[in-house]
Amino acid sequence: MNKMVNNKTVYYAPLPPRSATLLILERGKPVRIIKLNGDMRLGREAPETYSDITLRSSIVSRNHGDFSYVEGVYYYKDNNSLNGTFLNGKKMEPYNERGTRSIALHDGDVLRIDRQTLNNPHSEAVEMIFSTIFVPDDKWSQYPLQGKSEVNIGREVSGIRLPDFMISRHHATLKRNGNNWTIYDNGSKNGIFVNNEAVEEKQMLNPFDVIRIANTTLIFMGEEIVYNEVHPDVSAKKPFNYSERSVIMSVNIDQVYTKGLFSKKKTLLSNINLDIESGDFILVLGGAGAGKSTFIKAITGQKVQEGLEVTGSIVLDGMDLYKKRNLRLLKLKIGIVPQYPDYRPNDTVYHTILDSARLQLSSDYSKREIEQRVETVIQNMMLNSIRDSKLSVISGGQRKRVQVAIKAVGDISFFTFDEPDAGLDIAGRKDQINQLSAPIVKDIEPLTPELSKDNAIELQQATVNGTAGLMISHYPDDVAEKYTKVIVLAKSRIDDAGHLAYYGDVPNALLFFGVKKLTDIVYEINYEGGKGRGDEFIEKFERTRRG
Amino acid sequence: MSRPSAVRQIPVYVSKNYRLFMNQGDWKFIVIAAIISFLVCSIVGKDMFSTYEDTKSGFFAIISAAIWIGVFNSIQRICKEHDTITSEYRSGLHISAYVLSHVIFDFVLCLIQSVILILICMLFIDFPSDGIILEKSVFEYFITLFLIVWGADIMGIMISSVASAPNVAMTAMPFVLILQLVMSGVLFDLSGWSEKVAYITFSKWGMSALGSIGNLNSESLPLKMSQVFPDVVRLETEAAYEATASNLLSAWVCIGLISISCIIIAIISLKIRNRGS
Repeated sequence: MNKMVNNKTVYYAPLPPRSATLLILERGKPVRIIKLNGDMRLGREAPETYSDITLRSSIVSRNHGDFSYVEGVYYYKDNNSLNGTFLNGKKMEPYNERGTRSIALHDGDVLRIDRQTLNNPHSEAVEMIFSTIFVPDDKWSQYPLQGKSEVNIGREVSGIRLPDFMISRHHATLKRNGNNWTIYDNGSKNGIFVNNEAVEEKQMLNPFDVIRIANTTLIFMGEEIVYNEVHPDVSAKKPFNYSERSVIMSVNIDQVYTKGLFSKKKTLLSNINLDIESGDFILVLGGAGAGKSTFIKAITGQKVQEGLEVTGSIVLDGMDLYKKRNLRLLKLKIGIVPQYPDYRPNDTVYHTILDSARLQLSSDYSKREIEQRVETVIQNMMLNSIRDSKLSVISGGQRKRVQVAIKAVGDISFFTFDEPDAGLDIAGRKDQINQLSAPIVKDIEPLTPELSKDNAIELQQATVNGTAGLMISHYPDDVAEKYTKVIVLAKSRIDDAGHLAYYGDVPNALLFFGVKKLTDIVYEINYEGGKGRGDEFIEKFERTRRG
Repeated sequence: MSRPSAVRQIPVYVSKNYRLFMNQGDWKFIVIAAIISFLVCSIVGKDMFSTYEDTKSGFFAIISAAIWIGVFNSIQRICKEHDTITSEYRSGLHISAYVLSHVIFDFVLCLIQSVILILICMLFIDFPSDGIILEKSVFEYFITLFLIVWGADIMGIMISSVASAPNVAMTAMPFVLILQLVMSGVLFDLSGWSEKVAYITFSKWGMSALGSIGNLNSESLPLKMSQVFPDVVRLETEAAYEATASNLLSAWVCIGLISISCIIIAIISLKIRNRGS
């Protein structure tokens, strides 16, 4: 795990521990998924013994191990149990009389309880897979591989059928070769990830490899595949609740810099650590040259195009954005809504969205399926009344909504908006942001400092679908109540690079900077035409982060 | 294979091109083609096939008109969409599909324009009937003019792909047209490097094709001077205008190869522009 994770910036009022799950696979028993919720004990089901996570296998000790949660990271330690615990195939060794060392858990880590060695697996062996991606409410299924030489995976196959609109009809094929299984990508639109890396054409599988296909996770168990069932009808999904949000993107940037062939390295951003969570509508604030646009470009996968170098990691849906071939597939999950028009003004609203759907959706979708998807987006984005109008004749706000819609027909995890309110009057700006935030935030209750500070009331905002949005705006106070969080970037005089000066909710931002309006924050931190307190707040925030 | 391949994306963009053509009133390109054709043919028509010089000048004027019509169709089309292309490229657009959709749509547009051009030519010019390959020479003229219009259109697509904005493309347009006219070999004798450069121009191969079909080397097309001094005759014929099937086919193939090169350059330049996006 990246060491930067321990420095994760969370200034807003503390919320319950970051959600993580444990997928439990006990021989002969249904797959279970347990939501980890802070410190929890793992042990065998037995009278007069209490465990938060109970297992039925006889080879599990009553007090087998402990999960702990510290500063956004989950750890596991074995309590010197009789049979011990294997982490990713390696036995955890005792450290003291209380057990082993606590080891930080990463997505896809496999904990296994078995005999002392793995040469002869026990009939009651237990595997547990740690993940921050799995949704606790998902139903998990098992698909046996015994006696099969080939298994098809796709939306309309007889093998593992996954009725998700982002999955191709014949997405992938599992083929047996002797005792080994290999997964083949059948030229799918949205690709396959194995252990968080994109598969080029095929990849041989090892037991407990985690396969990601769109929103479905499949775990290769050697003799079976365990996978979560994604409901085919989006509207039938349980409504997303902000209090149950999960991390969409984990940003741990050491540096973003440019370096030409004959020019010196110029650092543009330094030490930016934050999580973007589902349902977040985040305002990006910053003074001149603080790196707002650079930040957006870096996290949206535009580093090559913009000539940027990025050190650190940017993890989207559990996969490193810039790792190997991941960007080609992950960029499809990011909806960039630029300031400039990226549409054809003489095309109609309907055809603009329809053609975008044809580009983004797998080609094995029928015409009717694509049209249904387009209709859904048109209804969600309130574009029905102007569906046959040319983009050149509709209002600026409506055009922005079309820009969002042409991205939303795909499978977008988060949107970025670059000054969508520029050049509008106050009424236009409010209307604009209200409409743009529609696909992300709905019925947000304004946060008060008291509410936020006391954390007495859980945030209960319901969001439409659990995507996230980041927005650069020079008029943040118009709709301050819409933003769930604010990122403040400030230019440091020490290294001339942009740093994080605040990340948290809006009420606390005002308290942190001692101002009444969000626009005053920029005045406080700006060196040119402002009070020049950028470094002071960078340092203050750093101190806050360290506790 | 279920990935939306380049082949599957082509019809999407061809239909989009058609919609935009109708929505933004691009039918005016057909009217412009008719006006240009009328102006050129009405001026050169009466003297065509009377003397060597007049026929050659007439062919040159018609080729210039064809190149103008083709380039004008497409030179601003792609450069004004660069931001849109970048956005769509992120969403899975195949650049080759995008460029080829324009090439295919413009095939129809250029076909219509070429039909208009040849019909107007026929109004003013009395073409000799026998062709080299085909029975009627007018079909050979039509094929040649169509290839030039379509080729020039594809060259416009290439310029538009390379240019960063419409004003840049329009600035480049006169230079490209002048190069085409100068390199035709009609206005000036070409030798050395200029002769080599001429090999990559539509005007040179267009003149070669029309000169072959019209048999510019024929003694039936006397020099103007020989009308005053009958004893003055041409001693040498020009190889470029040799009225043979191989010469005509070579000219057509060369126009096709230049067009394919333009398509490749357009695709590469757009890929470079959008790399990493």
